[in-house]
Amino acid sequence: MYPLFATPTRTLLYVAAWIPIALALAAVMYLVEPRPAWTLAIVVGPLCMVYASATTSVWWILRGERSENLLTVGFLVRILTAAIVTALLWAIAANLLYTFLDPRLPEFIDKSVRRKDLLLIFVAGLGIYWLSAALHLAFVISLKAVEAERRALESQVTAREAELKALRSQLNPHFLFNSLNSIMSLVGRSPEEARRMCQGLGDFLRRTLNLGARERVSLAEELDLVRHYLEIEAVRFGARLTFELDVAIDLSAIQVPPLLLQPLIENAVKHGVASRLEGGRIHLTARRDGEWLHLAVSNPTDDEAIAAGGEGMGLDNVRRRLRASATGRGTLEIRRRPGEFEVHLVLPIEGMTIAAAPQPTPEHPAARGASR
Amino acid sequence: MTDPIRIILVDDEAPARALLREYLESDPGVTIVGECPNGFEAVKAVSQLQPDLVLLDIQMPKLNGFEVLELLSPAPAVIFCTAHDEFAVKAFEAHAVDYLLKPVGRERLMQALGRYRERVAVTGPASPAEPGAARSPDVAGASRAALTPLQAEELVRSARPGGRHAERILIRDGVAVHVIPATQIDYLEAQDDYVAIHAAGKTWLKTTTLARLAADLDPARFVQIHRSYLLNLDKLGKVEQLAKDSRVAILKDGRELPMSRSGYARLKERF
Repeated sequence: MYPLFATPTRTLLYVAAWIPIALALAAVMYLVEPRPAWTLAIVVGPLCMVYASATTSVWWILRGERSENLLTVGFLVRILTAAIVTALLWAIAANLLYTFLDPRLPEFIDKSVRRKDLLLIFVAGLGIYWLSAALHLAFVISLKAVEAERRALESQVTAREAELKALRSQLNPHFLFNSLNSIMSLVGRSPEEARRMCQGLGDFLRRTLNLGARERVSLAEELDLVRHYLEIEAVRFGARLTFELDVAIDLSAIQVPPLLLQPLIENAVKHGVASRLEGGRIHLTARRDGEWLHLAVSNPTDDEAIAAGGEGMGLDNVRRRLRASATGRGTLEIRRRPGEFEVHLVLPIEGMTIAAAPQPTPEHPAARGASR
Repeated sequence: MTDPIRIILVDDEAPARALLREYLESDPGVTIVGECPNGFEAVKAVSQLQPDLVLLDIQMPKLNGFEVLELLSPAPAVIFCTAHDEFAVKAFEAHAVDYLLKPVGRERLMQALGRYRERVAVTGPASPAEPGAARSPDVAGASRAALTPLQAEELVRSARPGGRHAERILIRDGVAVHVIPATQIDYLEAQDDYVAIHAAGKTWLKTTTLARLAADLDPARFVQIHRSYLLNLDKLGKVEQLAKDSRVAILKDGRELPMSRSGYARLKERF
């Protein structure tokens, strides 16, 4: 839709803008050759109406162009050509009008004046077309800028939404229901154990909410959460669930996005323990390789079992969050071996590391300030 | 005084079974005749012990609760006991006695038992008092406290994620359960009331119809080449024309299967 005619007000404004143009054209024609006002009116009036609609054609040329091509030489040449063609057509239309009016009106205008008028109309046509092109160009550029800004904003909103959704889904309601059922069972037989489990569950929930509200957490905190989770699940699954956290690095200095590891562990429990008659052992390793943090979670699999719902929502969410993260450099890789499933998460340590708090090096605060 | 209700508890989580046991032990009208930590043992225990009622978890390793029911024909009366509420509507449609959500409270369980007693008072128990007595599969079911095999199959289907196709066939052989992955199946053959499943050099019989299995299995893999034969395309070697409109399918291992004209047309649609 052509924006100038989108509303009646805009259309009226456009028509009003043409009144001075028409008056100016008539004035110049009068200066070239003084004549009665009505002879000017019957020529300039219809011609300006025609040209007012003709010059809007520049909009379609501009609209179809990609923003980076606007203002290139080739594009300007095209506008120039369009201007010449349009102005020429206008002059031809004017000539037709003169030819039509001439025999019907006594003492209209003679041939030499007509030639001068046509030349004047052509030149005016060029000027008006360029003016129109310049105004349209300014409009289109501002429009594209607004659009680009909106798109950027939209993608930001989508990324944030994905993040929130991922965090919400961390608190798996079935985990809560099953844990509560285990607690109810313990209350009768072993009240002390029931109390311990209530406390564990409370701790886990509080940690999940706390970590989820932050942008970065230390790997140590994330691993604590995982340990709490596994201890709760161990009550439910008994001897079927065993786990080993194999961490050979200094964790306190490494910062990671929160709740990224937790869904991997949850997934491992679901497929490696809950879907196997004999249960299984969940193995987590954390290693540092230069500027990269390698986290691997593995669980045994039942190769006969049918993967319920593919690789699970958890892994999808982790992938989405990695993509939406500021650096976008983290990767998640799935390794399947017979009888084993391993998720390998690689995160860049740089940018996730805050300087070990007590000893900030000079460039660190500056570097962080700049990245904000 | 009537006989106590004979109950089997099926749940893969020991604390969940312990909770139900604790609740039930306070009711003198109930005896727990078995406890099973998984579906295989549940099939075995229910076939051997013929309980009146099964308290059944749904999410379990290997065989889920619905699959256990499908394998038990006729199925016993069932009270589901699960943390997942998404199957409740289907379960009630299939005439489950009740559907308990974890965490399970004592009153709620007693209420479910009350429902079972009411239903039995109206329609009679699912299984006869003396185990082994003849039971007609079409009487057990909707009119009684138990599920029909068809209803059980419907439940299994509803529990499959996102309308996916069956990736295995379950067969009960006495008290044992065999799981046959769809990829291992060569072909299925209709035989009276059974379907013969030819897989990995063996043949299994399942009480069902070829049409039902055809609807369950992935149509991208299985093609009905004949009224009585459903073929796994991966196992097809070649098709040989014997005469006009008379063809045989030759499997990769050399076995030959008859192929009807419409079966050949269905096969051609795939390529």
